[in-house]
Amino acid sequence: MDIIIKNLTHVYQPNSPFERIALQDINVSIASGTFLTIIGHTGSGKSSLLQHLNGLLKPTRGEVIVGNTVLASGSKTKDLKALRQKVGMVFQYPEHQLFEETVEKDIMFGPINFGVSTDEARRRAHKAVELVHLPKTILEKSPFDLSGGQMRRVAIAGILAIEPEVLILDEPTAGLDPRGHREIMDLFVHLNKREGLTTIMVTHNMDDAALYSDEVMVMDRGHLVVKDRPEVVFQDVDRLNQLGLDIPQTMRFLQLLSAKAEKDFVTPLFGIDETADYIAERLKKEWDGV
Amino acid sequence: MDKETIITIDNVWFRYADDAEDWALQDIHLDVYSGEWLAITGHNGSGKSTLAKCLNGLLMPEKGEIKVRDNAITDANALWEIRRLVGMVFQNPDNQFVGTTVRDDVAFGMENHGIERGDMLKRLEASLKAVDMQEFAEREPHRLSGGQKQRVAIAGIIALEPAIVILDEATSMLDPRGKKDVLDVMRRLNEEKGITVISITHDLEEASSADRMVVMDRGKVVREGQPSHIFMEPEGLVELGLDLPFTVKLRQALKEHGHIQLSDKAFTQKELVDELWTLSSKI
Repeated sequence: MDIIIKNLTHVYQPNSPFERIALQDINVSIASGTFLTIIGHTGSGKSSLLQHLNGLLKPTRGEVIVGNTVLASGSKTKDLKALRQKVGMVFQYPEHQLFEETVEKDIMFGPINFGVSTDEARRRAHKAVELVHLPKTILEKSPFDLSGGQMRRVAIAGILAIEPEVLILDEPTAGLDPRGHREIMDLFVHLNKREGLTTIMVTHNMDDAALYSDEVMVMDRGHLVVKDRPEVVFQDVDRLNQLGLDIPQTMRFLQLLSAKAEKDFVTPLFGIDETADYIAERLKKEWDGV
Repeated sequence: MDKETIITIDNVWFRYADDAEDWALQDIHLDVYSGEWLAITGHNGSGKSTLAKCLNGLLMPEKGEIKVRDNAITDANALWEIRRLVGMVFQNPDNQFVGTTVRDDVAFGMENHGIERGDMLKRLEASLKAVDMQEFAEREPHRLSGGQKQRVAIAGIIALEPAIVILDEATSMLDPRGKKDVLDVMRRLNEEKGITVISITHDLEEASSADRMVVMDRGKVVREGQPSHIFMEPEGLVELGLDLPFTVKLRQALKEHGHIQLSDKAFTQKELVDELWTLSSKI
């Protein structure tokens, strides 16, 4: 499902002493099937932007077009429910919202809310559990007997059971151990590549942004700074530094090495093995006096 | 370095229900030394936070003994003193505020401990200064950023002049800048005031810079030692739900992929850069 954002401005508490511009004249288009990561400081407007994508916030000016649904200021959006079915939102710490007696019931809750029959909801719950790589036996357990990583998967399965076309992820790996982190990122890549889910992720983790996304979008104080492939966005180290944003750790290491060598070795590389190859190559050139 | 033990944990067992089959902590033996930065890491559910909550009596072990400077946590009369000595910063900065201003919030703990007003005002000033938040004294806590909130929480703790501060995943919800600010403040308190820091964390880069680290797995302590030693033997760490720090992974890749003859010594990024550079200048 394509997403088009045109001249989007959002003002909190307009015409009051507390008026604050959260988003200013944002123009973006996100092609169906893209894995887009949004980075930016606390207060840069990331969350406000996400909340427009399923109608939790309405534009003050401009419009947001998600598939066939148009969200614009002044006009009432009729099919909000349909939109929310298509745009699945995984909030921070989604496991805090688990509440049912069993995992199966918890996952079925979303689809049933959207009018799906009990049988169909159960079928979807079984499929969703498989998608998030949990064993079927977990369906009968209480969600509160699971580990943190498992609980997060169950919460994500609950969103997947609604069968969205767009998945929105707000800091999806916060609080997970390194293995849980890797597994959950692999899961999102799988859902994006295999199931074709358009994925929009907000993260503070520059390594994830660089490694997993097709495109990275940088926000600063309500403005869109740049949206491009990770290699292009992370090339501009100076700009990211100015915005107080980090670069991936592979590039930070290249920066240290460059400083030592008094040369510029920094190049957008994100994987450890390719970075090692690059360093070996550069050093051999140095050694050969090239 | 002279090691003075500040916390002893002896044969501690804990479970969340009396009839639970799984122990959240089993047979924990661990000493914490005065002035050290101790990182405790392990997979989700390994018992890290449970252990932390036992250290100031928020949870009581079923078996075994924990002493903080000779005060046993089972001694009800000592519990107030233990909670003053062992301050705790939790994960979610929004769940630990009571005051309507930063100043009130920092004063709250001191009022509870009956600290005399003149002394309280002095400590209030000093604590906010120590965490670089003195300019925010009149602000409302909920309007601060995550990193600022955590620093206010730390100020409230150090106003009580504790010996130990436990960070229970206290930076996991913060953005990179907030995280750095909180860790910088704690490092300064550790170095200048000699406050012992116990940091429960999944962040291996942070754990790498600790004086000592403990790895937990399913309620047990499975490794203990200097981070550089622990990561020197990477076998098994991944199975424990952990990963290797970036420098160790890159060093391995440089040896295996790049065919560069490196030693196993480099542990920080700087050490690895230096070693690569020494190699290149030798040729």
